[in-house]
Amino acid sequence: MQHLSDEQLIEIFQSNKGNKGQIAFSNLYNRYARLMLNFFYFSLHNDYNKAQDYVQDLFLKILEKHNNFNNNQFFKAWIYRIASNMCIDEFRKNNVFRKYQDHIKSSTEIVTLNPETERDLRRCITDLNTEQRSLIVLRFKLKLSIKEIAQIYECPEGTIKSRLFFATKELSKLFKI
Amino acid sequence: MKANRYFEGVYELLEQFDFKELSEKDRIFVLSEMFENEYNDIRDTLKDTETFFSNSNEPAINDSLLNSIIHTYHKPNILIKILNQPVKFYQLAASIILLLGLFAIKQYSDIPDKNSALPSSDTIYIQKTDTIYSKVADSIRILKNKIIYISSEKDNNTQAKLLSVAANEFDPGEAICPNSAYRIKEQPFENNVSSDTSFKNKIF
Repeated sequence: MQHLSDEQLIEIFQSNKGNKGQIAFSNLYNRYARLMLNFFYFSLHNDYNKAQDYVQDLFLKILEKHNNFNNNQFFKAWIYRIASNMCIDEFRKNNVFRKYQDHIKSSTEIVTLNPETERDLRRCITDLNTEQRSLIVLRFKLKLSIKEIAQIYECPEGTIKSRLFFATKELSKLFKI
Repeated sequence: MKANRYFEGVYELLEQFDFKELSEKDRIFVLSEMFENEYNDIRDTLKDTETFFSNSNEPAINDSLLNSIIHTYHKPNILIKILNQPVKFYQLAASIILLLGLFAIKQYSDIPDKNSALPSSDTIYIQKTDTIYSKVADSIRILKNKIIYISSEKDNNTQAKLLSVAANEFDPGEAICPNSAYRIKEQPFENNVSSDTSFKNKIF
């Protein structure tokens, strides 16, 4: 099943509840679990446990609501859209930033940037709003194309470029403070 | 719309080129809305962000996560679990008897005592209507009838009495006439003075 597209795999999963369906789901999981973990990890302020819980919740949603997937759309856009909405819901429910601020400061990662710059940049990314942060993560961490991001947010590519421009501008402004 | 086109265009340039690397046409385009140092600042931030993300450690996915997801998905909820529990026949029968017993007790406790006062509630509707009658009279006419009795004898006392009665308020209930008197005339009387000439002639 390795050669099959995401859309073909989800179709197999939708129509087969047995072993074949489970293999199709496992394939989808192997393709996206790491990407989703990265997305949640950087969107939810570098909390690994929280990101892992979100990955689990995301795949459970896919298992439960796979029939909501329309075969005319891209699976990649669909899964990222669900993940993005989960992040937005989380931030609406409670202020994750305050809750995990200490964790962000104590987190240690190897970067080639000057430690001060790296720390400032981490703080600035954290200070962005949810949508801007998700856009930055999708573009610079997960290296999605503008077209793919436009499919996730269901809007024209030009709109995504404008939003990315303002997100980067905001980041630059925060970096100066 | 024009502004959006500008931001889209500038973002494309920001991702690819430093300001120095821009063509003359692109420089003019960029400088139409922002300064060179502003462009450079955003470009530096963008490059730093790329470096930050590309060099940051990626969190490793837990190997057991997939199994955990599948296990959670297949785990039935508590209600289904309870419903799937095998129940023995005597347990079911005992439960039914217990339920019926409880139902009977409840029914019995709900029957009211014969001697106890039954609570009742009446609803009284009060309808109130006020009617005001108003009567307006434009003119009032008072008619008085005066009956004068006169004796056949020309008794001075009787005549004087009759005249005094005629001058005063007339009361038909009051017997003012002597037995011998007879009714001579019943006529409208105006301003307490009779205008009847025959009457005058008879008296005087």
